[in-house]
Amino acid sequence: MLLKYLTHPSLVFFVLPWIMALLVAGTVVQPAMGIYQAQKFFFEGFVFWLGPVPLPGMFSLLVLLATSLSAKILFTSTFSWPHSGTWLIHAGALLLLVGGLVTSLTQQEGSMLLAPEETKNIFDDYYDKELVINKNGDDVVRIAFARAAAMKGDDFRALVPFDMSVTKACHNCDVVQDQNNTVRLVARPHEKDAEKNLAGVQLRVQGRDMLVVQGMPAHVSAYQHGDDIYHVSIHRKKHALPFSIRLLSFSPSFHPGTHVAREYASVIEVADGALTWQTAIRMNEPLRYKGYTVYQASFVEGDGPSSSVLTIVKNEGRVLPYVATGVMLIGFVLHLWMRRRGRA
Amino acid sequence: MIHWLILLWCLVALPSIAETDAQRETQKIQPHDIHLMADMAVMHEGRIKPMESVARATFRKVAGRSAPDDISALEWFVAAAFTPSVAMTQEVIAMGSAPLKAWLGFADDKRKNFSFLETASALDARLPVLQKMMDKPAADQSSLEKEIIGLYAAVQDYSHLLTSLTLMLPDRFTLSPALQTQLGLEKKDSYTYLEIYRHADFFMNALKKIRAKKNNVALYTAQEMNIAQISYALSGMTATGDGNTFLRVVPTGAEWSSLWQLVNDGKGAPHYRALMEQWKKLAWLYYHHHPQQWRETLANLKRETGKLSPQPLNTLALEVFYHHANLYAWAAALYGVVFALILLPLPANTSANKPARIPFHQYIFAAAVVCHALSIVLRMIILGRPPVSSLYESLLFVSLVLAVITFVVGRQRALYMAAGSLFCAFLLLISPVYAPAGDSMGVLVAVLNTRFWLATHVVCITVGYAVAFLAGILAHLHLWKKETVLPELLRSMALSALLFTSVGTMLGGIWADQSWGRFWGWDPKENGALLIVLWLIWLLHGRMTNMLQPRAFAAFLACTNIMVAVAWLGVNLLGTGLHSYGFTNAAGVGFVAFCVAEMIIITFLFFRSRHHAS
Repeated sequence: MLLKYLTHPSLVFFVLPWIMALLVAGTVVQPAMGIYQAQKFFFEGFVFWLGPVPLPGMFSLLVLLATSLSAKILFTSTFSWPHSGTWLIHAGALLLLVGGLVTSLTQQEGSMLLAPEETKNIFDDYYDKELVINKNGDDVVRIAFARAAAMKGDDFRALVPFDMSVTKACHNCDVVQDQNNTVRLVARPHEKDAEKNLAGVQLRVQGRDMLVVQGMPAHVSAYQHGDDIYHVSIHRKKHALPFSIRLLSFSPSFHPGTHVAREYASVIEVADGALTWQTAIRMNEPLRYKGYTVYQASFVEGDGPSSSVLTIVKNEGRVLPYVATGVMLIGFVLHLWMRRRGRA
Repeated sequence: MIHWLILLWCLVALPSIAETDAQRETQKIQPHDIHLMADMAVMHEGRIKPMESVARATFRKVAGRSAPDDISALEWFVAAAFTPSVAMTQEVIAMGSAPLKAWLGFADDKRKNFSFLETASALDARLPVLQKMMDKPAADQSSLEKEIIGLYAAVQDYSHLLTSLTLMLPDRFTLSPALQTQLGLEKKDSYTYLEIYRHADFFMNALKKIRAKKNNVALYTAQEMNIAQISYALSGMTATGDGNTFLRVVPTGAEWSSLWQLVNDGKGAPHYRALMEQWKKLAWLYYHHHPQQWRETLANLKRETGKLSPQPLNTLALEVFYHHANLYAWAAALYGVVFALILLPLPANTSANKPARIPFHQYIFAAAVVCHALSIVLRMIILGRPPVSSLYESLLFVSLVLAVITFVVGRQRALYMAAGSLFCAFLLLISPVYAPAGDSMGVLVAVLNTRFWLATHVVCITVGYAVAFLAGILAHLHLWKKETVLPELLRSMALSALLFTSVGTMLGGIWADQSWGRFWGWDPKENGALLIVLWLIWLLHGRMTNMLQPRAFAAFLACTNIMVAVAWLGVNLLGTGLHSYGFTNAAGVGFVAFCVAEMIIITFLFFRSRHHAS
């Protein structure tokens, strides 16, 4: 019974209007809200809060559709030649949804700024941030910012040998000074450009207040405990690559006599253990290695030669959309062909 | 920033063409001589174009319309370069809005167009304010500020055009016989800048000495006055020529150079010098009315330029033809004729399933399709890339796909042809709205500069738009008269539209994965495409489960037109996201009007069909 309802095509008929409504709303608000916020609010939740009213969010609807499709493919539609087309189209759609799920669960996405001749094997996450406690020059504690923001005194006890707790945290902060000359943290609305958000925490360390905001020089938040000096800072989360990249040269080339870029290219040397080789990364021609894909994203002009900005993505589900596209294309062609034959 | 006043002064001092005896009138350079310059190669905005294209684009930028009333854009362009002292007082610069006029101090002036002289003087007086506006980030500029900056850019281009050949225009400098002898110059009545600019230091030093002796200009002797004038003019012209890269006609490598660049950057290789001499000769012949020699020199100049060019110049004549033929206008007109032929003589109650009484319209439709297709093929050859890379091009292409399918599927049915031709004509007519700066056939930014993805994703998705439109049009017809379009055909069309839009959208995702590192990013353009896909899936599932009765299905399918308009044109109005290449302001009103009109029409058709059914 449940299976019948779950696999009936009318489920699609009832679910899609709500998805389309979310899609339209989430698109229309983008200029005002910024793409990242709009995406979080309209496209990424299991529950969509319309004011105080909880409604099904995009994730719930997509999971419902995926479940329906899986049930249909596994249990109700038997594969037969005349219906092979529709079967493949639905299988392709399911693959797309699964691909989306895998991507949202596993994707790491960040950027790496490379000056000429510089070598790096770590990159900064675009969105995720972390709180780092440094002891005498060594990073001894790294905690995801979202978790650190909720940490109480007890949680820190195992990490540092003194009393420390978070009294306030915000994803985008301002530091303001009041009349008594005490500085405190004030939360600001999210920036339209998510990368411009400056996360911060207000800490209570051994009875003293300490402010830490992203991008602040480390010495501002120094604390001496015995002979040890501790620094607390907030950074974009760092990911390690299983290989390193050295920038040999970066060259934007322009259409003659204009400032319109025709192509950006970074010539790099990749080193993996004893193995090194040279390659070039261009617009539309990324480097793929060990599950990571390295793209030419942008560049930073300086006094000397320009530095290159690379985007680095690791996504276990990367192949699925490619397969899904092929499967669906074949499905459509078969389906239309079968319809023609059926009519003839 | 250009010092407009120096420029103005330099231009005023230029002579106009001597109108000597009447017999010469017949020997003047005629418009058809000027038009021989049409396929002269110019490097402009990153691409080698025929002078015809550069002239059209420049006139559009300066005057805000496609061509002057009495002459062609090319004639205007050539006259501006060869006789700048005349051109600078002609009223061509479009002065858009009332606030702009007020800002420039022309509030009470009723004219729409102003001369370079007036505009440049007005801008010159406001340079410090202007500079502040230009230093602001684009997002913070008001619409008036954007307009002012746009005007400044246009006037700057125009000033570069006006001064592009001043270095070789004849009759510019008159030197006393004593000076001629002193400098060892060939004895002549007058000289060009090129002939005496090497002596600039001499004039400077001479002027310094004079100044040291006399601090009042009134006390200068004739000889001293001559020196002072020449010295000022030389330094003024050098200043205006500095950085003038507008008319790049000398192939000095992939970049090409303007004539001023040759002089200023010291690119004096003999073969460049030879080209320069030809240009100088051309200017002299223009001033002294020798049409026959003008034609010969021009032919020679084009040949020599072609020999030096590192890029092939074989599509220049084709591009000139493309402009002159104006095939889109022909296609749009012919589609209109087809529509009129079918509908006008036949009252609405004629069965459209009968073969049309006037098969003649099929030939006309075919001719329209040929014109339409030919112009797209010409574009592809000229630009060397697949047909669609901008919003404007997508309109041209979608309407062609629509026309071809209409012809193949529905040429036996007059009503299909009528609807198809009406829609094609409509799309072609609105297309210029989406190319506000004119169809300059520009170069592509890096991410679009890929033939493979333009040919696959973009073509697939635009074919999808066309098929979806067609499905929408057929649904209109079905609502109008049930028996004209069978429900089965509607479903097939919806399914085909789904094929192209969904595969096209997914290919787009793959391209995004290749260039930006993610398959899907909820970008407005992506969401728009997804909206059409979901809409069609919804329709098909609704029909399949009978949730949508045939008439409701047809009505909603007719609404697909609105969905396509939203995805294709509407999302560009949001102006956000990585995809917003087609910036459009004026297009908004048309878009909203289209959507509202469609809703009214579909509602009307729906209730009308219900009435007929009952």
